[in-house]
Amino acid sequence: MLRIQYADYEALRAHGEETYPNECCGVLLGKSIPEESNIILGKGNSAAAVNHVRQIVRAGNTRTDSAHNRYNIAPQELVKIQRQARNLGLDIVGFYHSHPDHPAQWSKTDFAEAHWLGCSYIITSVEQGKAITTNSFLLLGTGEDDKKFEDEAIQIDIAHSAAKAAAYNQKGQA
Amino acid sequence: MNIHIPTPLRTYTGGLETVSVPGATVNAVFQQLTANYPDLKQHLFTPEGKLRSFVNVYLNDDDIRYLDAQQETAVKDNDELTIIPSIAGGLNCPAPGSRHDYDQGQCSVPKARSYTSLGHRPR
Repeated sequence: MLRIQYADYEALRAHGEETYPNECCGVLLGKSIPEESNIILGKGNSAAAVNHVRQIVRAGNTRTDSAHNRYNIAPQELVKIQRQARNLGLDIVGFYHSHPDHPAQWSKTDFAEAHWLGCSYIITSVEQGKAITTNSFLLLGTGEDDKKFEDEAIQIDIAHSAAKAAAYNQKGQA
Repeated sequence: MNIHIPTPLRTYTGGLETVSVPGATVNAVFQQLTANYPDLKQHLFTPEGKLRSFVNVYLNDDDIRYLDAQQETAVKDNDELTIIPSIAGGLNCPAPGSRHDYDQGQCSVPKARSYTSLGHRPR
């Protein structure tokens, strides 16, 4: 399962609208946490985990030759983002990109180019400039030979946003 | 020297994000790394011993593929190696303006319509 703050969820969808008709891309920083049920059962890290996103980082799409249907994050930029994550005590737990005028489903290209096992791949469909559907797929397997994408539930955390709104309201009433 | 391991490969380094390995060249460091963590080898190298095409390796801020000596480049103890798999993808519709047909499950380019100067479609 993928867990993400509502503000981050909206921000990555907005990124897809901004870059339309081209694809956007970015990186999800956070922590991979074993699901509670698996801890109880003693399954450890090998079992399903929650990729808990704490921060999203926008990345540039280097595929300027075909930006409407391809994305690529420069390795040099990834190195910097991984360094940024390390300094924050976070890990790279996934990536996001958009599919302009195309369903929010992984493509053959997405699958062929997916190598971050255990990470979440978020795809947002953007129809005529408007973000429509956002799906997440978890890349499972032990290597290139047995990797597979699995549909992944997205838990959108609105508690933080709600708490901030409540604090703001209290302040207004005082 | 320190080697930074990407999230998916930490399974093979006991969960360590950074491992320290001695060596005089990039190649020597890699040999020691895969000796210490044997399961890493198949994920970094092809059976022929070449670095896998989707695995990028940076010596500090430089891609080793573009260094003059590549994997034979000399390294110092305070250098850092970062292993970073590539990230790319995209949709299957090849032509600009093409759209995915949700019913047919394939891509299509909207047919061009021709109009007369009066704005009527020709019969």
